[in-house]
Amino acid sequence: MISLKNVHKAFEAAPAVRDLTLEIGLGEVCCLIGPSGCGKTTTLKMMNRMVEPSSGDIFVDGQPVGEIKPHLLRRKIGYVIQSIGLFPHMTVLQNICIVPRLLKWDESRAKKRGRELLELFSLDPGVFEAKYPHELSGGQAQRIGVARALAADPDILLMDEPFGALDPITRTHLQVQFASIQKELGKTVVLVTHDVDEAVLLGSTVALMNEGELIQSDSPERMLSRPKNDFVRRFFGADRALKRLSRLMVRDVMGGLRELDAAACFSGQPASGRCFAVEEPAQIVWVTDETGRLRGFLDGCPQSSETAQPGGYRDLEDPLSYGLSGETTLRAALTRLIEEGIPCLPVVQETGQLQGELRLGDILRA
Amino acid sequence: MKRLTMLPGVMTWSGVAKVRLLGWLLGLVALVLLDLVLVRENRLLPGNGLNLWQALVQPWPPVLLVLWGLAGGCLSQRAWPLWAALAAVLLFVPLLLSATGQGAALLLTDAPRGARVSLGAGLWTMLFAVFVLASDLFRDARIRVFWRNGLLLAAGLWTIWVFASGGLDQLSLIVELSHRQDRFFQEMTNHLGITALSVSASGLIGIPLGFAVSCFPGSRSKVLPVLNVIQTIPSLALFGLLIAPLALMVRYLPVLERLGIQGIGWAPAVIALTLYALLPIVHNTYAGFDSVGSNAVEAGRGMGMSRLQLLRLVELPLALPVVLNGLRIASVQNIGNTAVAALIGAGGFGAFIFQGMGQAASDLILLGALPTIGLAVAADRVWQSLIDLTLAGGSQ
Repeated sequence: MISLKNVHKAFEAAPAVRDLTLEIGLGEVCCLIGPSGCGKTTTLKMMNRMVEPSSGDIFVDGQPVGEIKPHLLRRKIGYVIQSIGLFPHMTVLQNICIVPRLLKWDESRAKKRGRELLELFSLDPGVFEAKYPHELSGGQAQRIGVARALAADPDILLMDEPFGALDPITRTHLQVQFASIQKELGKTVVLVTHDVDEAVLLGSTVALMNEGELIQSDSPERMLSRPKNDFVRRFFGADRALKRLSRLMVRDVMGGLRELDAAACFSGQPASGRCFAVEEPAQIVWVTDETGRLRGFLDGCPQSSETAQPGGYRDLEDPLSYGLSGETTLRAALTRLIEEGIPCLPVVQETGQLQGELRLGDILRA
Repeated sequence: MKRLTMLPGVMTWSGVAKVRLLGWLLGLVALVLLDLVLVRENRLLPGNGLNLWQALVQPWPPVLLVLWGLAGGCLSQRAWPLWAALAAVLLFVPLLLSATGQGAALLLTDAPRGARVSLGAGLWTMLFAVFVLASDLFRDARIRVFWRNGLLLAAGLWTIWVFASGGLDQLSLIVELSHRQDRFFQEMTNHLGITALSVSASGLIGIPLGFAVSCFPGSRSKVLPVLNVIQTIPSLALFGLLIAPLALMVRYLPVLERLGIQGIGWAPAVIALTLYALLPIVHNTYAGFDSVGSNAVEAGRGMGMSRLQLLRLVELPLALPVVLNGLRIASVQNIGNTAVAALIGAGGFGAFIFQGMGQAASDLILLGALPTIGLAVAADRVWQSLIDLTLAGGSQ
């Protein structure tokens, strides 16, 4: 979709990007990462001709970008700038609809598209469309910035540190939201960041740059498990193994459950419900109500339903927040396990339905 | 307790209440202690001051005092609904004026021919006190817009009616006006024409120049100092400086003379005022375009705007309020300076001022000065409301 061949850029003799060759495939999320001043933003800006390369070729969709007029090229490529850059004199809807307007879309079609995008980013059009940028929080403004870039449904999205200026909680929230939206839309995304966790979380490819050169470009898993040299190893840090866990979701590794004979499990205790446990050796029996919603657990070690060694039953005060969601990253799940000081946790759906069990061993094997 | 928290600034000794108290006390002092009018044997002699009781016919003095007392209700909402206090404040003006006009007529019946009744310090102070109270009350959100505008309109129309029905005809200021009615409107046209011409010319030169300065930041240190120097030349000196070169030009280019251009008159006035207006216009245009954030510009470029679209959709709308503010400053400044241009024969309200100064006739000076102030205030309001329109919604 986008390819750079031997691209070189110098600002007044100081080289910013040196002999860069990079191929970004359709539907890929390529995270350009590296220390400040490594040339990652310059590389991004050359793709939509915000910056012109000194030498080398850049192709978008097989066409050399130098042959397309800059402003026409940019209308085909979504662009999210570092500082968001919403137009302060336009409403949220006008901001989102700016590229459709430049492309001379029919006004009602543009507005409809704008409202769809607001909904896609969980912003109520009725509340937000007539607001002005100064009335928005940082996180809301950032979402509008991304929605604006998506307005004309471009195939390619360039993002320059899109979540950089947000507080950590909002940032994580938006990263997860963006990841799920991207999964739905399947755009080709180039994202500049200096946040390793962000690159590992969002990227299907991570391209690490230093001093204008591309050091390694690979999938996040390979970058973390097979760093090409010391610089890569140091950049991803001593906890790079942990960072890998941010890529994996609980639902991908959790263990399935089978139902046990309830009477045998309770063996005379004044409690009732359905009992579930993973294939042996199970350490904990999870207890649900008749509809399968988690209620509590039996602390014991039933080898099988016949030879159950039942422990005491414990009711959970808030099963929903005790359990993990399938959409939790393994990194967060591991944190929970360490926090609680226990070897396993139940996995529940939003409705409280018991879904599976995650054990420390599952994480180690991942 | 709840009422106290609902009325911040009125019950407590802070905020608006202090300003209102000051204005109200000022009005009281003006009514009780100062001379309302001056009676003079003729228009040039100094006069004898007369206070409220000496100048007005009964029962006006006690009536006006009571009305001012009611206006004091604006100091606390407990005493009086605020809109009623505003009514008392605003309607005080036409009542005071018509009472003064009536009093003046009576004072002049026994006086020798040529005697004049001029407005005294008390009346001016009173009008100022009303202005202070009314403008403070206008900012108070507790008075509904309906009352604010309705009462202002009522007081304004009543005042105009008092004037139009001849209720003020015996006052010296109006006598001066009635002697020069035709010339008054002619000078007003002159004044407005010179101002409009110079501000438009300056806008036509200054806005593109300011935009150019913002495009080439290096030129800023060359252009603005020149305009600053022009601004420091006293207006009278600049008018004078232009007389000789213009006269020379007219001599060698007779076509100019046919256009009505002379070394004196409106031509040098318009040229000088155009030069004066350049600084605020260029400076504000430059500042306006400079204040458009680089973020918005980069976003606009990145979204795929052409240079012209960027200017039309982003830079111009964001810079416009600041640019218009430059025109506002230039207009107000030029209305004032046009008065001086009367000295080189350009006409305008300044003609009355200088004529009055020559004759030591203070009411004739006022006949020139008051409309000049009025024009400046009106121009300010018109531009300001235009600016508010361009600000609506978006930029704070």
